[in-house]
Amino acid sequence: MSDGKLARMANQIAVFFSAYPEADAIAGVRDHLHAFWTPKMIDALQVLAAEEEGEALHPLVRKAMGPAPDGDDPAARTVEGPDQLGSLASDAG
Amino acid sequence: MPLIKETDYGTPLRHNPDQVTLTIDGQPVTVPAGTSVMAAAMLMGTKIPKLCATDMLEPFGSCRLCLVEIEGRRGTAASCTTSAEAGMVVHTSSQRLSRLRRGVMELYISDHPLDCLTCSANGDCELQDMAGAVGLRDVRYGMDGANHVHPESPLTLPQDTSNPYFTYDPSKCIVCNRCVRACEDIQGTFALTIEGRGFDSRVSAGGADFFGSECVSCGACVQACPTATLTENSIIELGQPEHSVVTTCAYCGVGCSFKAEMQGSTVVRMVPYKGGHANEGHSCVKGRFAWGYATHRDRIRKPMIRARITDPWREVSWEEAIGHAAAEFRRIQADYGRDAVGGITSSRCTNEETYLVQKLVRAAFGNNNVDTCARVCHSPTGYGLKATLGTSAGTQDFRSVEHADVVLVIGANPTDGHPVFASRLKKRLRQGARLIVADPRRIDLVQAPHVRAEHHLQLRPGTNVALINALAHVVVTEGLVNESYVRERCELEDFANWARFIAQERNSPEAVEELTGVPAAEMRAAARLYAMGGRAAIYYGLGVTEHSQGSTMVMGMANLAMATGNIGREGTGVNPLRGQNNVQGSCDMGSFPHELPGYRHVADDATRHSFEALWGVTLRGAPGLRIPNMLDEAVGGHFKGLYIQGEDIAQSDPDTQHVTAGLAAMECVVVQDIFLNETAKYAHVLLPGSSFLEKDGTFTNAERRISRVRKVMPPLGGMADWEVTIALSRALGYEMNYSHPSEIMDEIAQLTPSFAGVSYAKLEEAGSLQWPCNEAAPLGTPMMHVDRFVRGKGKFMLTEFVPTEERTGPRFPLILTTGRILSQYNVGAQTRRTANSRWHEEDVLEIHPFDAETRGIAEGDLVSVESRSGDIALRATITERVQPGVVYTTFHHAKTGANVITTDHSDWATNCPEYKVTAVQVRRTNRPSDWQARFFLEDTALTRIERSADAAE
Repeated sequence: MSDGKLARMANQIAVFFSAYPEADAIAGVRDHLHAFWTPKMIDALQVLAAEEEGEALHPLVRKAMGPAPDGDDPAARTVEGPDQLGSLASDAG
Repeated sequence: MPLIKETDYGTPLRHNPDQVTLTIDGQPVTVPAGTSVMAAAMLMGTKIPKLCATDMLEPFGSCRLCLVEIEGRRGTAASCTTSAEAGMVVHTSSQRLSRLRRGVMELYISDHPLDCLTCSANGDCELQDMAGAVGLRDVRYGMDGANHVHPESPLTLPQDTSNPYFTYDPSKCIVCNRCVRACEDIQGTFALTIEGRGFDSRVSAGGADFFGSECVSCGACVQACPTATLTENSIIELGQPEHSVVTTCAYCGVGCSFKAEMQGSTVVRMVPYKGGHANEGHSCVKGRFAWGYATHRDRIRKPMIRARITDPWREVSWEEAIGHAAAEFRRIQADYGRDAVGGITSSRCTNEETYLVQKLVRAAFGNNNVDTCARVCHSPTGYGLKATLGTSAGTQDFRSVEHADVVLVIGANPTDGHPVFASRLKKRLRQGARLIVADPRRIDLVQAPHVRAEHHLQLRPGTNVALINALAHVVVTEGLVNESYVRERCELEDFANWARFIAQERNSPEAVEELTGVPAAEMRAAARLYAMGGRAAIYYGLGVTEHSQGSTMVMGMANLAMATGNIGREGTGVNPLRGQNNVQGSCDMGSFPHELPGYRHVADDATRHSFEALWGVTLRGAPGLRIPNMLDEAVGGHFKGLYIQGEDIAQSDPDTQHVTAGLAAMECVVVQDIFLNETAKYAHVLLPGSSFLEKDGTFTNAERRISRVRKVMPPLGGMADWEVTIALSRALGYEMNYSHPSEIMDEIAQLTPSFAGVSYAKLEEAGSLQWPCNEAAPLGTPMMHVDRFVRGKGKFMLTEFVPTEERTGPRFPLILTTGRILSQYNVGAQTRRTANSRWHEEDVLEIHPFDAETRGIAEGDLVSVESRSGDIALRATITERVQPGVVYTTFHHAKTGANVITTDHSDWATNCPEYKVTAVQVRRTNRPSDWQARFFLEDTALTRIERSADAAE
């Protein structure tokens, strides 16, 4: 997948979550990526985010690609039962 | 197996808690108040003679055959129009009644042809039955004088054979009005009438022939006709069926129940089944008539392989084809890695087949690269509803619309896309429910016979979220929020954040008036009506989901419904109208790369372990590739093999040239389909698929209703689709052991909590079941979120409007939006191979007179439509159904290539393509586009089949 397309997809996700306070938004982007993207796509995005130059990434994407807060496991939020569901979980897409 | 004859009670059965007891022929019978005497009699097994009455229609009281005597009343009453009353004493037979009935029949027969032996209704004629029932022995009036019967009579009209599926023979008409009433009451089209007066009166399709009339060929009139006046051509040709089997239609997501009426293994006709809860005895032109594709000569009957796509196909044995496919997949995985292959499940196939394909991908391929066509239609529904309500499922059953007071239809065209549901909806609207339509195009519902949208919010494509935010803004700022509902059922902090967000001035109708193109006053009025008009239901389609903000829009609708308390009761809800017959089922069955059956994420260890234990393999815990990702990876050279069951991505998916580039870059594409479809042009192995008539299984419709599909003929290729997948899996070294689809369903039930209570035995008993069906809901769940939301508390999501990146400008000043029409279905692989094409022979471009004039385009001109992705040529039709600046076309014909011009923009959350917004330029042209020219060449070059010499001769 081209870097341009990866960046565009990630930026679209970031734009949606940018309506939320920053901490929630970063977690939202990170959770979303882990719920729906293949590890290879996330790795490729990680590389893009680490680059100083290159594809224009939304600041939220860069932050979401940074180290996760201690003990935060996006996979756990993704699979919690309905009563404990994180705000950004989903079952399709 | 007998021919199923459903009981006809003569008038509709009433649902009323109040019961009345009356006496009929000396026997007491208790029925719901409002039941007719005729139906009450039939409930105790007494058939009162009748001609104009049938329980699909309200009583009419015209034939005077159903007369009965009621003690204490003078004269003889028509039992169809007389309600049963407590204490009533009814006699259904007496000498006087016999005399009267015989007299009535005598008059009918005096103007009816007596060619019963050669009549197409012979064996299924109510007139003949009634003549027998009343003991008619003589017609005193003779057959002379004025009549509609004799060929030389001036009143005798010729047969109307204009409709490809049924024939109208006026000489057989007894003017019972059943067809006219069926067209009005059931279908809601009002195409038929009784023309003329007195002896001249006759059924007429509004003065035109049937084909040229408003008739939509739903078949309700043919079904209602008691004689041979309206008869299916297949009955005329083949005669009466001898047995029938109840099955489920394989066209749209309504999922109508049909009786396949058979002679041996030949389908004679498909008749909608009254016991089917999705359709309750109604149908549309596709399900009722367009099934001839199943035996079309284009059907692929033998497996085929080829080394390169430019080689001719070579017919081989099943063993060779499957062995070759398996060897190729294994070679590719050895060469390029385990993730270089994947599969696409079919929303056209059964739940069981879909389940097996995803199982094959996860267990035999060992990755999660599986996806389905929901990716390109309702994946945003899944995401949006799950985030807000807790489950991706539609909230109501179809019957719920009978309780709606206000209906908001957004981005859906039910009269074309979901016709049988549309008939229900129109019925409710004729009863007084109020309608709001939000659609860029003036769809038929906006103004139909006795139906008119109070508000048509004719928005510009791509501004859905701005519109829904504006409606919500009105609700919040004008104090129309259902506060007690929100307080009791929703997350309050999220609600407060949302209310603050939505109340901002930039979300007001006035602020988005220019953007959306909808007058602010209209938006305000529509919002007030939705919030205050009583029970309000939202029905929506792909006009909501197929946008770069599809998921956001779904959340926006759920927000609006929650804020006004319109979820969890009958007559309300957020209701997706699903496209394909089993797209709900294919999603339920774990067709998405990130989740296992029952919408459970692959990262969930407990779920994964339960599958691993039963399947005996280790499963990956991270999502696989989605269809667009697979194609991107293929173009990039990392994805090399694909197993596609019953899906035609080369025609249905956006940006065709990108799709075909991806397919062409693969080394092994295995297509399993009933036809050599567009995708098959890029395939190396072709495995014959089986139609819904050739296999057992289940489909799940938009209501989450699981219904049986039953085999009525053997698979033309020798194997049903589920058997093919099993064979392929075995060849890949992963054993699957099922001898019947019911065993696959048992495994699904064992592994999937929401299906725990589903089995073929139970389906046999209940007819159909709506999931969740488990211990808590043994008979299924017609309505979701009744007392609480599935996720616990409803969650309001912030839905900021973000314009699509697809922009109009000087080069591409118009917006193209796409959709479907009634007679064709999706990529048209089926309907194009039936007489349905008579109604729609090619895709045309709808353009507003203003845009046409500035471009010098006249009606029927060939025009070129060009976007940033590509260009095509098609004929233009000038219409005010579209607004200035917007053009519209369908995508039913492969040769048009509508998706050559759609772009690779997609929904932010799900990658669902943005089919509904493409910036284009339109100009006159005199030739097909380069893509189309190439298509015509490849249509031959890539589909050649090399047959052995003796087969050719």
